[in-house]
Amino acid sequence: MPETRSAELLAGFAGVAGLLLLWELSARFIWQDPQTLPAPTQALAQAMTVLTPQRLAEHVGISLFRIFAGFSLAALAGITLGILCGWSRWAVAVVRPFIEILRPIPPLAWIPIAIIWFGLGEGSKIFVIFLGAFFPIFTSAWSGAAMVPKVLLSAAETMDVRGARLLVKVVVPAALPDMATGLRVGFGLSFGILVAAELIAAQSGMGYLVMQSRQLGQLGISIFGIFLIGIVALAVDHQFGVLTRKTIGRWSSI
Amino acid sequence: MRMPERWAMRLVPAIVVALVLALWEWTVFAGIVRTIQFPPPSLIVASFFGLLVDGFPRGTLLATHIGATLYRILMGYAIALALAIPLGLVIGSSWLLDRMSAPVVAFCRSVATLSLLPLAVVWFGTGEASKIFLIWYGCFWVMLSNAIAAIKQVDPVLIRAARTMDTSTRDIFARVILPACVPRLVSGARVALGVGFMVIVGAEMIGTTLGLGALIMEARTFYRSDITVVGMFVIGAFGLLLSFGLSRAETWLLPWQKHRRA
Amino acid sequence: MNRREFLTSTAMTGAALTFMPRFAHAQGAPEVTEIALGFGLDPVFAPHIVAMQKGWLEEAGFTSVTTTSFTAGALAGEALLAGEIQLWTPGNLPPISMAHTGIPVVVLGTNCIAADADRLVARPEANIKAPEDLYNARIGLLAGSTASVTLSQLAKHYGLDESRLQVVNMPPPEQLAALNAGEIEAFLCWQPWGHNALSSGAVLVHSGTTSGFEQNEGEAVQISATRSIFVASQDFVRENPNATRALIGALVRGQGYVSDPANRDEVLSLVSAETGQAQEVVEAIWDQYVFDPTFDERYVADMQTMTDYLLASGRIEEAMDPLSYTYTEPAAEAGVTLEVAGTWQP
Repeated sequence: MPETRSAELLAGFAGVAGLLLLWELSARFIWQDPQTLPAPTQALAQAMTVLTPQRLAEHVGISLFRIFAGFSLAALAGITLGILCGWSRWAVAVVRPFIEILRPIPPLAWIPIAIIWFGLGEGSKIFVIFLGAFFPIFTSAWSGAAMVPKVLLSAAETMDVRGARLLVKVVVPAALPDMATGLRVGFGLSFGILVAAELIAAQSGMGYLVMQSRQLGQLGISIFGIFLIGIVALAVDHQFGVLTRKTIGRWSSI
Repeated sequence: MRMPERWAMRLVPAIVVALVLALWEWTVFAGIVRTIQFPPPSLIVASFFGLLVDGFPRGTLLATHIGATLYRILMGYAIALALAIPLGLVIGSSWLLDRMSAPVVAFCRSVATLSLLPLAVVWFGTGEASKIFLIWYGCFWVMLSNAIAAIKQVDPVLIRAARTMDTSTRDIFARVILPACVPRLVSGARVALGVGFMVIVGAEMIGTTLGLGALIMEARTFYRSDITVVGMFVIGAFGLLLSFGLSRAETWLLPWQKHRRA
Repeated sequence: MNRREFLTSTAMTGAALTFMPRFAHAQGAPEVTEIALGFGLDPVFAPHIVAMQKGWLEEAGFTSVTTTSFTAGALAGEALLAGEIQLWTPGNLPPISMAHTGIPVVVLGTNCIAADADRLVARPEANIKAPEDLYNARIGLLAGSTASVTLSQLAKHYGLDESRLQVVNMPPPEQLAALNAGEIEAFLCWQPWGHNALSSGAVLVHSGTTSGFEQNEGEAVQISATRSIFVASQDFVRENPNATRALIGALVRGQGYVSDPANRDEVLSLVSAETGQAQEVVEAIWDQYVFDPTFDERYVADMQTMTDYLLASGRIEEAMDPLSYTYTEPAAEAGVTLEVAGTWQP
């Protein structure tokens, strides 16, 4: 099969469509319990009775704002610290224990602290999203910067490239593929943590939609919300892949 | 590295930690932050011992909570790795499979544990299975993404070099490609472990009051912020321990590849 | 003016002040004009909704009233502690936990008695006709909620051994899903979850006030001590006595309004619109809430029941007198009957 862009999109659609079809059929003929597991069409129908297109756009918009804000901060911090750790053993010794202690802590445990530090506004939600995205980005940047092939390093040495120039011209570019993976995973996790983040007194947002409808017993809308989050995540992830292939894909297979 | 340097490296993080703790204790002492909002380290240490000896609720010891959670995480994590690594390597080596699965993987990775709670109950009941499923879910998609990327990023030069030496395809896979994937697999495993811990509060919301995640929910329900922080620290400590374990495993698997400083 | 006119005008002003209606801010304007109320999806927030809609909070001097909805109770308490909201309206269990942990909160009044809203529902196939049948059922329950106290009281009343009851911890939406999927046979929860279960075919085994067991069906058995109460931080009350009075005054007025049967339809549609809950559901469960702010022995008893539960389940070490963290003056000034008085003073 030719590895063209259109073939790629087709393959992607086929994958998703297949899954949706499987779900629709099993929900309608096997489960048959719209209360507990509605089919995609049923979930959509229930959602349409309650949501207007404007309200929907509002939910998506505010969530994307929170995610981009949190993700950007996480990318900045994660890449900086990750490359630093890949570069200097001292940095690793000082930074790594803190990061490894903080990494596993569940976002739901951070919420009380987030409320104290950042209040009930956007700050606390962005903070929680930051926590979700930061660690994969840091780990991948560190791993990428630490695993520069010896060949490249020796070559640079023969050309008398050292210090900051070595860092910027050799190490960082060599780490880009790994960083890209980390950023992609981090982005996905930002969406995954959105629901927890929007527990903090959100009045709108896709995560809010999922939890609010769950509290009201409207599981169909809740599932629609989960789907919405997934589809938006997908669209953004796809763009990510395109971007990565354009920039890094030229010299490395991504 | 010379001896004094090595000792200094162990000392520096300890000093930094001590400074941070001292600063924290002082801000509460000086009234900048109130105890009920942000318990000082002294209170947390006291509560930690209380948890060890008396437990919370009284009678349920910290050790019990730790045991319950570690069991679930190890089960969910192990199953996730066992499935994701082979699957990821297979998918990553086929352009078609990669492109078909990419949207599905990205989608599934974005579904929050909390969103899955009702489904987990219906599919897996209220016993250990539903918790292990939720932890598995968190770990699996992350590990899968990293495994796929790991094999895609293997340097083609290595493969071509092996070919020139007339190596069989099976040997190429086992002795060239696989070892080249290991560093990224380990880094992916590290991220996946973090996610596994991250989801335990959600995962332990169903059918149990035992476990570090359940303990944190209990602590929040009864406004024992000191116990919440103890829970966070214990989780962090175990995460740190297991992460160091992973580093050891990586060194053991790849003795020739140490993390180089440029 | 001359002396006679001066005396007359003073006397008239004095008389006017004495007989001015209690709601008016004769004692001074609120110290803060912006106020944030913790909010939720239950019909218990009817007084808040009415007070806001009718402009009584504005009348009382608050220029900006925001409501912040929380999907989980713990969040609202944490927000109160962080100073993000000034008034919290929880069930009467979390504030008692807080008080016993040394957190300076104070109860300002009862919003409503929600005992009847606690419902133990079961799948018909589970055949729960007598109290002993409960031993064979897996019962869904949210650990640490007012519902767990109600179950404990039920066990006490009917002589059941609590340790033999199979309680499965999970949040209300999962309780419903689990019941429908047959993962549990029963659950005990507040509204609208009981109602939703009944709509899916479950049967009512016992409510917070009435039995559904075969042996004493219809008998009034008070097992629930659940109330919705007004809680604020002690610092807020100390620093803002006028605002506290004004706030409670407006809310008590709201309670009076929603209790009046003449306003029933209006209140139901307001509540449904504000909370997003379907009107039929609100209507079906409305009569289970009693918006009675009276401070009486029953208040003390209910609080005591909750405290005893916390003690018995090992969550607290020593019991405190509920009146020691109850401040009844603002309610009294708003016209609420006081048969007992809170001992907390600012």
